[in-house]
This record gives sequence, structure tokens and C-alpha cells, in this order.
Amino acid sequence: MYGPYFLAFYAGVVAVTLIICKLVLNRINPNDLPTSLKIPTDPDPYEIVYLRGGKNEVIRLAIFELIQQNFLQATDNGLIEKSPDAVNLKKISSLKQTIFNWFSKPLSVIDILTSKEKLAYVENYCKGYEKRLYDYKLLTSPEVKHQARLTGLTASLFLILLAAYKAYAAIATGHYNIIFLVIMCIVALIMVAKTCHLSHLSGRGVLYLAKLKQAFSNLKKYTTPETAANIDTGAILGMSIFGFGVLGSSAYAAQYPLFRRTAGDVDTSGSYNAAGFSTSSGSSCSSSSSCSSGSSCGGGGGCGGCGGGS
Amino acid sequence: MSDKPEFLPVLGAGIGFRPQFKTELFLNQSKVNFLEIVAEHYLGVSTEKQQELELLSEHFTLIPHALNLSLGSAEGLDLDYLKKLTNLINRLNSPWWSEHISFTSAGGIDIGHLSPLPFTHEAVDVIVKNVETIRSFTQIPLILENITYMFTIPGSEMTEAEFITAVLEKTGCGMLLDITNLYTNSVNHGYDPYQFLKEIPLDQVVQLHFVGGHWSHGLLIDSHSHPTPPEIWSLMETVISSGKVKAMILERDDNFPDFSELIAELAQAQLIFAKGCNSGFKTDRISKT
Repeated sequence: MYGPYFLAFYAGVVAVTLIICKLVLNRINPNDLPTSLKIPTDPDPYEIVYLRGGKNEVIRLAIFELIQQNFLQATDNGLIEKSPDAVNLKKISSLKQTIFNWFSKPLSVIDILTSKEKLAYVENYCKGYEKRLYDYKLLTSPEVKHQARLTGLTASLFLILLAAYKAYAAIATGHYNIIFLVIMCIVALIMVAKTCHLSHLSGRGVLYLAKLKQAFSNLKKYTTPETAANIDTGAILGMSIFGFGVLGSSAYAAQYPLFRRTAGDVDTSGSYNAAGFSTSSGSSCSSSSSCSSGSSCGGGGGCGGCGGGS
Repeated sequence: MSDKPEFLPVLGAGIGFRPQFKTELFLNQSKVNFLEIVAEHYLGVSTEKQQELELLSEHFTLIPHALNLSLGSAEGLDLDYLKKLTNLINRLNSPWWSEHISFTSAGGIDIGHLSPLPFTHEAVDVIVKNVETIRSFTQIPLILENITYMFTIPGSEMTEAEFITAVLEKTGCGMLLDITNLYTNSVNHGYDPYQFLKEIPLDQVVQLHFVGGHWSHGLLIDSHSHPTPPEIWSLMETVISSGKVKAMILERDDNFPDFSELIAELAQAQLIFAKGCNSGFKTDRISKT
């Protein structure tokens, strides 16, 4: 086949291969939510944060909560140390007790997140969360990841062999201008890798997390500082769902640099976003209602609930 | 689905959904039997707002409450608007939906407010005709709500109670009795609300609205911004014990307190409902699958 025609043919083969990979991944990684999986009335922030970001986020949340409860405190140079006001250690969970004890000297969050021993402890602690999340297929299981890798490897091998065959045929007939073919092959392999990459969250997990964000979107607005005696549980749940980025726009903004992301954090982006579910907060209200002012229709004509829909 | 109240499911006590307390609502799902949504808030809106509606419908039975159909408009209904509204109602597959015995537009002008109708036979006929038009778009039962008014339109041929009774009987619709509006009108116009209740067909009352208002310059305003006062609880007891009420909605629009206070009002409503039904009412489960 004449060179440029083969390139066009190869592009078509790459497109078909990517579509097949996508179909295979959709089959092994469902993005539907069973009707039995509802928004919980008593959400566990640690289970949710493990869903969203794995053990690293569990550690961050625990440290944040320990700071709010005055067990730990931030130093002037961006480290964290035990607070002199720390009391009643036995009233907190075993996870937080262990994490508290790690701060025998001032450390940064990154020091904790780069310690294999400490990460292993937290990973073991989170086995219960992991099992429950696997049962609901909210996390990508090792078996599914293996199947995705196999799919990617098969597709890649096929594309490499096809390109290699054409390159050999071209060279054998004295044609050495195969650079475009090589570039196309490399680009195709990158696209296969991205398509077949599955994140920590399954497709179902991405959708479930998006629904949690939708249901609890108000938590982003109501994060307020509280004393250790009256910790703002909204802040804990809010951060478990939305991530520590919300600290930057809240009353806890000064603490945000302590919890910045590291290279070791799990990738929750995924190769696709289930159902394209919007995760932004806020809402809009149609202005076509009689009571679009958002207030009650007092003074005549009870509006029957025009509401402050904003 | 039959329009007759006795065939409609018992939903119990619910709350008018407002985004301000969305998070608290999901944290207290088990304490809220169902939700009333303002239908206009979900027509032609963003993807995010549609997803909010989807999320609500997955967790609660939703009753759409429309504001802008203008059932009392003599020129007829806006059919494009009616189609969008009924598409929403049909999609939600609610057991019923509601609108107001009022008009919000006339001569092509949107008044922007629920305006009272003259209590005349002609106005009754207008509503009947418009309800018939609605029924060609949706078979889901419509119930009609009474509104507050600052003055009676001149030329009335009957009392408000007679007017409402005529509308209900001729349309065959059930009633959404807004107890707060009834009480507000009775205070501002100096009549006995209990006598009013005797003059309307209480067995046609499907749902109640309740909430508190505030006083301003000697007038009681239905601002939906305060806790339900004792007078309204008392009226509710009378209605529930006399009729076949299926649902009650706490319709708080403004000045939101801690959500636990709203839950407490719902709990009180549920107690009144259980007492009135004499059987510790059991809500009918509507499958969310």
C-alpha cells in the first residue's frame, strides 16, 4: 500500500482499536449506580475520603481533625507538632491516636506521606473501608485493573506489530521515510495507555462521588473555625468529599499549605468521567416564576413557596 | 391514576425543598417523608440543576408545585409553557401536582405575582376550561391551592368558600389547603377560619401547606419566614380529623433556622396527622426503582 494511504489506514485502525478498548473498559468498569446505593444519612468522612483519595487523604483528614481538636498544632515554619493542650487522648479513634504519636518531633505532612511504614499502617487500618467500597464496586478492583492493562497491552502490541510490518516492508523496498509512521505509532500507544488507564475510583465510584458532592455542596460554604470543644463536623465532611482545596476558600485557609498534594497521591481523574456529572457547587433558579425575587409573596397572593431558589 | 383523593397515596409530612438546606436534608432523609419542589425552578435550567432534580427524585417522592400557569387567565394557558411543565411532571411520575386558584398574567403581561380572582361564576368557568386543557397534557392529578389576598375584587357573586367549592366541584380537582393562607385571610379580613372550613368540601383536601408569617403595619403577612404558630396547628388538627388529607408540607421560604427546628415542626405535624388518623398513620411507600 502506498505510504500516505497506509498512514490513513493506520489512523483508522488506531481509531477502531481505541473504540474497542473503550467498549471493553465500559464492560468491565460499569458507571451505573445501583438504586440501593443512596446518599448516606450518616456519612463516614473517613470512608468517603478513602474513596476519594486513598490512604494519603485519610492521613491528611486525620491530621486536620487532630489540629482542630487541639491535639496537634502548626508551627511557624510549616511543620506540625504535638499541642501542649492535648488531653483525653483515649477519646479519639485508634487511627488518630497512632497518627498523634507519630509527631514525637515536629514533622510535615509530606514526611508522614513518604514513610512506607506509616503508610502501611494506615493502609491496613483502611482495609474495612476498602472491602466495603469494593463490594459496591466503587473502587477499581485489582482484577479489573489487570484486565484493563491486558487490554491495553494487547491493543498496543497489535498496533506496534502493524506499524513494524509496514516499516519492514518500506525499508525492504528501499523507502526509509518512515518517521511519520513512527510518530503515529508513538501517539497511538500514548492514546491507548490513556484510554486503558483506570484510576483508583471505578466509573461507578466517580458517579457516586459526584452525587455526594451534589448532595453536600452546601458544606463548601459553611466551613467555619470552631474550638476543639465544638469541632465543625461540616468542615470534616466537606473536606472528605471535596478535598483539601476547599481550605483555600474557607476560614481554615491558613492551614491549606500544610496539606498540599504530593506525587504519591492517588489519581482519581480516571480515563473518563461517568455520565459527565457536574461537580461544581451552587445552583441556579429559573427566573420565570411569579416569585422570582426569591422572597415570599407577602402582601397579597400567597405564593405557595416560591422559595429562595438560588 | 384516579383523581379522587381516596385513591391517592398517603405521603405524611414533608418539606418544600430549598437549596439552602440541601445538605441538612440529605443528612436527615429518614425524618422527611417527601418533598415539594417548585416546578419552575427546574424548567429550562442548567445541567447541574437537572442533576439536582435527579438526585432528589432518587431519594424522595417529589410533588411539583407550579406557580406560573395562571389558571384564572381568561385568554387561556401558555401552551408552550404548559408542555414544558407537564413534561417535567410526567417525567417525575408524581402522585399529584399543584397550582393556584389565581392568575399571574393577563393580556399577555406577566404580573409576577399570584393575584386573586373575582369570586364569580365566570371565573369558575375559566378555571374549569383551563384545567380541561391541562388534562389533555397530563393525567397526573392536579390539586388547587387557595391564596392570600389583600382585598376582594369588586363584583364578586359569592363568598371565597363558595367560589373554592364551585371550582373544586366543577373541575373535579382535589385541594391543596394552605392553612397559613386561610389563617392570614381570616385575620386580615375578619372572619372565622373554622366557619370557612365548614363551608368547603374537606373531603376533597389532599394536601396542606403550613408555616408562619409576620405582622407588618397591622397586617399579617404570609412571608413563610417564621415558625408555625399555635393557631395554625389548631386549624390543621381540625382539617385532618375531618378530612382525608394525604400529605402536609412545611413551606418555609425565608429566614431559615437550624434545620433541626424544621425537623421539629415536621415531627409535630406528623403527631397531629397520626392523632387525626387515629391509627398512627403509615405512609404509602412509593417505589424509587
